[in-house]
Amino acid sequence: MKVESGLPFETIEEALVGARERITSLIFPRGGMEGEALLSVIRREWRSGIEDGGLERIGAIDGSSNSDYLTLGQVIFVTSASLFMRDSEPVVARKYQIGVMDDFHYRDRVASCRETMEVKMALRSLDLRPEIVLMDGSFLAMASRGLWATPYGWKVPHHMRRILMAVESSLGVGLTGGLISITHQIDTARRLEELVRSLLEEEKGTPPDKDEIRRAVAFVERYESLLSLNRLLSQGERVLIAIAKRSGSRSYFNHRLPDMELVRRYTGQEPGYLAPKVLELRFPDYSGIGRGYRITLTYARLERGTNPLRIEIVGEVSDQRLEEILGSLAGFSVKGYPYHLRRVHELTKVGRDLMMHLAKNLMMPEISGRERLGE
Amino acid sequence: MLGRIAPNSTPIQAEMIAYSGMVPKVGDYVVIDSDESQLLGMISGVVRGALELERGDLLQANYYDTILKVVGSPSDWLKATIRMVGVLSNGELVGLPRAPPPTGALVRRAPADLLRGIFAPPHGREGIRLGRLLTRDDVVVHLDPDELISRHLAVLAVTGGGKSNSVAVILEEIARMGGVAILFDVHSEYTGMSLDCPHCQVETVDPVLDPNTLTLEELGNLLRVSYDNAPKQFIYLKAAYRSARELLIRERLSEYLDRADIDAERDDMLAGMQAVIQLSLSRDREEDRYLLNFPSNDRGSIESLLAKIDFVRSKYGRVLKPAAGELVDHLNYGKLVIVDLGQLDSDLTDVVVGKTLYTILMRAKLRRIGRGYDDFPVPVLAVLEEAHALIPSTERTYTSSAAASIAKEGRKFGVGLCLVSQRPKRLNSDVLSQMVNKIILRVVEPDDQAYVRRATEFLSEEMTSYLPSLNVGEAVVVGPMVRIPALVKVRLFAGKRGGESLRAYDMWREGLRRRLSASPDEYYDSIGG
Ligand SMILES: Nc1ncnc2c1ncn2[C@@H]1O[C@H](COP(=O)(O)OP(=O)(O)OP(=O)(O)O)[C@@H](O)[C@H]1O
Ligand SMILES: [Mg+2]
Repeated sequence: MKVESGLPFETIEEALVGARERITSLIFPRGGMEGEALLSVIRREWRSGIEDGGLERIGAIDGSSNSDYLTLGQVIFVTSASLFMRDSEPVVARKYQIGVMDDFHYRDRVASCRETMEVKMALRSLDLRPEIVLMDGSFLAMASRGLWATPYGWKVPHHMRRILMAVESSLGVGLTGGLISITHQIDTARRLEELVRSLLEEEKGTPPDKDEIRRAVAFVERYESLLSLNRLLSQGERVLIAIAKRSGSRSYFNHRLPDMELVRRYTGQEPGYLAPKVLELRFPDYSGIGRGYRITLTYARLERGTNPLRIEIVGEVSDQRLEEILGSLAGFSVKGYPYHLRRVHELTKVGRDLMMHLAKNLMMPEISGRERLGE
Repeated sequence: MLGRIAPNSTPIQAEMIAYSGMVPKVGDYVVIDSDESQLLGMISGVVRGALELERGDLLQANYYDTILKVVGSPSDWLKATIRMVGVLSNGELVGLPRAPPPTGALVRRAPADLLRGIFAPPHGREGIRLGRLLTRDDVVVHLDPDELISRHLAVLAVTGGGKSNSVAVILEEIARMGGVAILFDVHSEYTGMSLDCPHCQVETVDPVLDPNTLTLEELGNLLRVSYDNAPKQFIYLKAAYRSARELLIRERLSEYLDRADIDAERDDMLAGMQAVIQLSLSRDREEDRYLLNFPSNDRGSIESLLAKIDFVRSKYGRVLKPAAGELVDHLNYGKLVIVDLGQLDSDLTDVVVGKTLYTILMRAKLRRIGRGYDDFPVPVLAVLEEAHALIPSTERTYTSSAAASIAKEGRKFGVGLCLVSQRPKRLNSDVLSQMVNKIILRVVEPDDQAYVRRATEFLSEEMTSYLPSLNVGEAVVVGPMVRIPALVKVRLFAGKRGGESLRAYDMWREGLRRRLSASPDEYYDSIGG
């Protein structure tokens, strides 16, 4: 609608009129295999029924994070990682990391801090000699979240390689050790910033601006996470399993609909799983981690009438081993989801109430008021 | 240590989070460390759960199996609701709390010694030993007799809940102390009751009414003639009442009885009224100032009045006895008088009970103000079984007026009332709410529960919900006769009582044994050949 000024004053309905059809076609695209053809492809891969498995020592790892944006331009964050393992007695472990960072891409950076902790907790869990360790999510996604994971995009400046090397030697610790993210730890974070500043200045001959420093620091943070993941994958063959309830991945069927959705729609109600596919996990070029890993991928419905899960196992596994794993998961599942993961999720969750409790009761009553943005 | 106080406590109520492994019982007492003093509370509800199993969609126990297989034992949590019952200062109860206990305050189980002190008899006197705390069988609960008499008592429960047993226990204790009590036994439940104490006396008396002591109102009740429902009849009843009374005083009653040819005791006033009315109606009546004068169109009314009097006299002949004296004449110290009303219909029961209650109150009053009845024994407790029938919520009976008067004034003159009922909802609520002391045993019917709750100060909704699950003889006891509300296991009356539950199996076996052991002839004789 035009008003006197000649400028539009639209209603949302007016905006939708022109766009509706295109939006619908994007949400529900047509094309690719349909109907019977699609069905037969899926049915060909589907294996009905899951026999009981005999694994007992099952560990589960999960992490969580939350943050509060302060009006002063900083972010208080809490990340956690936990372990639940059922042996003769349940074993539990939990570690929190609390810190402050500037608001530069803070959501991604908090997530990467959490991921680092999860990976390190999983590394430690291997010492307990579990038969399998379950993690929440996807190894492939963890490694290849490149586009968002580097503050530079894919084109990483050459000098960053040099900086990475220098950081590891000058911090004096292995980045993959311990249970928390070293680069996010408050003291090392400060040292890291200084170090990056001087390395950048050395590199360019002029003092770097603030934004450049922040980018480089974020890069190092991400590097710690990938380095730890690399170590974990190298030790966890045939033991480490990542399980996702939701996934948009299309790497199994290469159809316009996500694999998960196809399995959900076209495999009926009964338990079963897709014939495993082996995929290659590669770290991003810039990370300097040359090694790749094989990942066995399947989708499985563990209990009648429940939603399927996406399941990745590190390494190539035999059918027999896969059946044993799926059978054991099914035996410990509630509503089609392994209860170990559910339990560890509850242990580790950093919810709003915990953040409120932290701000209001424990840490800094002074930041609970004025400086906090009501979220 | 049981647990700690959770946030949002009030001076009336608080929630407690329990230490792991602690399972407090409903009805038990706790001590809470408050700011300066300690608070005494009672557990009024307990909720328990396990975090791992708290999901709405786990609708098959198989899921529980899986979860328990994974987590081992679930994380048992327990939350209790605590009702505050008092403030403790140096181990003594001093009033009710004014401030809530602090969050995080430590909650401990109340020590038995403390509770024994609280439920002990009033200092230097005896108490009514009712039973033991349900949650502590090492604590005996006594009732304060002074408070019981002056603030009255209601005993409420479903049938078979243990009302009569509780009453028997209380009456025995009262008699043992030398107290005075009268029990209106509507269903002949207590006939044959005996008390186990040397000076105690039980007397079961048949109800008698001296027609000459009946007031006009009492007569009206008996005849179902009142100014409201039959004004004409009432006016002539009043006139006949006056005449008969005067004739009685002038000792001329028998003369009229003879003239009317009525067979009755010579001084039976009710018979005298019948004679007066009958003679008034006769065709060849003489001028007589004791007879009724009436216009001819009132004849019908007077005839029906006559019929009613005749009917009542023949129906209640056994009970209506001139010069029989009053039931209250039997009252004495250390004695229980049981009035066996089992044979009476409800109209007569109403008049007998109402009249007796009024008489007790009147005599106690006169004695108090020094106008006679010096040796009328007080304080006295009057117990009404089946109170909902005698004092119903739907209509005003003679007994309900009398009970209301005692509820209101009895305290000043030493007359206490105890109402026993299995249908509290049908009991007049004004009267019930003045029974400040209550013994509430098992109550199942939701309406009854709601009603009891409204009439009882301490009873929370949560506690009310436990009433159906009480066992026989287990009671919530509230009111000033106990210093704090209590959940009590009433003791079983030791002496003999009439109305214990039938033992069907034993009685049948016994009967069958007798039948089979009798010779066939005797058997056929007994069933009539
Ligand atoms: N405190 C008690 N301990 C053990 N048994 C009891 C107790 N009270 C009552 N009983 C048992 O329950 C039976 C019924 O009790 P009681 O006659 O007192 O019930 P009630 O409430 O008066 O019933 P109703 O409404 O029929 O008169 C008794 O015969 C007795 O055996
Ligand atoms: Mg009874």
